[in-house]
Amino acid sequence: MDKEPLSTITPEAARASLAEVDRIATQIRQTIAWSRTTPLLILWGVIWVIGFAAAQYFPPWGFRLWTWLDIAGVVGSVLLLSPVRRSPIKGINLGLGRISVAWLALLGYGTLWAALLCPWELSHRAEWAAYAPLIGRKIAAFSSTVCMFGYLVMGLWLGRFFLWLGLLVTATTLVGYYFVSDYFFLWMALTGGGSLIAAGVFIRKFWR
Amino acid sequence: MAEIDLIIHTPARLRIMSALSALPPRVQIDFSTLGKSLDLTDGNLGAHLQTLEEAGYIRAEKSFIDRKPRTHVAATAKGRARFNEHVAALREICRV
Repeated sequence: MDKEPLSTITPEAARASLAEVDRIATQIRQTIAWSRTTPLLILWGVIWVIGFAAAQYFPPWGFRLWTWLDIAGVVGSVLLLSPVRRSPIKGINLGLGRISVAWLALLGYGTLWAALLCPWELSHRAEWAAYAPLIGRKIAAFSSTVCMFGYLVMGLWLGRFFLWLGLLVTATTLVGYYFVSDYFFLWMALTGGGSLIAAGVFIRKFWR
Repeated sequence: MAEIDLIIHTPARLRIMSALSALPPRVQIDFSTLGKSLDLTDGNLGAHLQTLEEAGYIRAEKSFIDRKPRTHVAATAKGRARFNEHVAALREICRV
């Protein structure tokens, strides 16, 4: 006998069970999404630390390094999302899901806007060297906030953690841009890259 | 009228079926990930999964990945139907 009449369960107990059903369903979807996301957070955090630290201490070589770091980041992200990698679930390919496509679109538009907004037509002038650090800071602040906008939007679906992460790094980017301009790239390496790495490690350690 | 399923009604098994039914059909989840997500020990989870498997509500598949044994589990069509009926019964009780 595996069926029970409705009368033996109180409405309060039924409501509690339904709440538990909803909570577990949300939690399991988040667990799967996060298990794919944490390596990406750590990867891009390391890239930010290297890229911004190089831009601070080794300009202009450090700025050129960003092109290669971005390529390495995209290749690394594709490998980390690859279906051949050990995954907590089988039978579905999350790697090429809508979130990945959305990130690629954001990356593409961010790169396009950064290229359009940068005054390249002035690059042959003598005063370009004087303005280069300011332009570099503007592009870095723009790239960082566009990227964090992606986290913020992702947070609307995957949980508030990503929303707060996006807001936090956007805020630290603006603080660094306006108040720590001489050490802005180092500031971004520590607060931006550091936040991404810390978020990845935190989720990996505590959210299972 | 929907009926409460006593096999699913146990708190731990309700949580297991909630998790497995939240996944798309035919998608399997790793045993240890499921246990950590639901905060169940391996022994406790294994015992409940066995009960659900004997009832035909879930399917377990064992394999070797990197020479290590791995178990993936998924809800069957019968399990999903019973779980949906159980949830419908709970909703009916709430409306009483």
